[in-house]
Amino acid sequence: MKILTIKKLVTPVLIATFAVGCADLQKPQSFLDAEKAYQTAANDPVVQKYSADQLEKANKTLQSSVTATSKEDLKSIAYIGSTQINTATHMASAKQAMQNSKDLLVKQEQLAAAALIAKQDQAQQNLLAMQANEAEREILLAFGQIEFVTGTSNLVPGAAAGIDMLAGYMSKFKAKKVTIAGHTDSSGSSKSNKKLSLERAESISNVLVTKGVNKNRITAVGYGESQPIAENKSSAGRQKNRRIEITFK
Amino acid sequence: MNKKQSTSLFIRISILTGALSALTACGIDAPKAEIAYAEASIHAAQNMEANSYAAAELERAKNKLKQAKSEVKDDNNEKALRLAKESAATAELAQAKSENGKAKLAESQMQESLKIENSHLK
Repeated sequence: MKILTIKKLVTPVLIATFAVGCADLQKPQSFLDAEKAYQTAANDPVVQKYSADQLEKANKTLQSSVTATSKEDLKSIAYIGSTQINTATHMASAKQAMQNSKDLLVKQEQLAAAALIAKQDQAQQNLLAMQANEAEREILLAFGQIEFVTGTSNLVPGAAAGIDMLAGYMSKFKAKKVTIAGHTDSSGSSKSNKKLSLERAESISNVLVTKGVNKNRITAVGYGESQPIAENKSSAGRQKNRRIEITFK
Repeated sequence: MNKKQSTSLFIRISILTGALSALTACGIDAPKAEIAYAEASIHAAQNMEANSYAAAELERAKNKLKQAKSEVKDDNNEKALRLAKESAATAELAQAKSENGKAKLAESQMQESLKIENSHLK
């Protein structure tokens, strides 16, 4: 009977010894801080997006506190947990920065591409402008030689070359407009000269239209004898005054 | 063996068993794997230039590893295990901090270069 009594006493003591080791430990402040830090990180959208796995690792570390048998264990778990949370935050920030760099690179490439296109456009426009200037010079030169049958608006044979050039020019440079101004010398009445100069300008305009140039791009005017560029006394001067002037816009 | 002797023996065996059980519960093997992992993590952090970007964390990880090794020598394996785990976690933090530092530097350089390119285009 005595043995049984002692046995009954010893067994609970042994159980109690183990039970103390697993007793519910009070969480140290560092552990509470780690739990708080976890909540903050878990609510951070950047952490959620880029380092959810690492945060889960920290969560598991903190959860392992249920098996802690000493205050030292809990403190260590708190340290490791908060360090892992800190790691998650840094990892997320690093990944965010990398993504930002990638986005910036794309932006830079787009800018460079746009700049190149702008440069190419500018170069093309410059080239076109040079070509237009060159063509305009040739047309003006050709129109300097243009002649009409005296007193009529009929072009003398061979005058068509300048008009062909002008038609070609108008077809190539679609934005350009042309003004054809007819001038005469002072022979005859000023009224008839004005009429004749207009008819001559219009006859050129009509040829251009038959060659496909839109009439809206052509202005034909007749100034008669009102704008001489040489004296009308000599035949050479009068020849200079009978002219067609072309201006481009 | 009379009853008294038998009782005394039972008490002795019980105490011995209890003490042994308690010892077995606390006694663990030296945390070799955890120490090796901490060492590898520190090495990786150093390779990521943690000396420049996370010097304090790297130093802390090294100290904890050193302490862990010292506790193993004194047969305090549980303490050594805790320290080895803490060392590895700290080294991983040093890695993340280094990566973050470098990524942020790259981003600011990228922003600077974009700013220059923008000013050239204007």
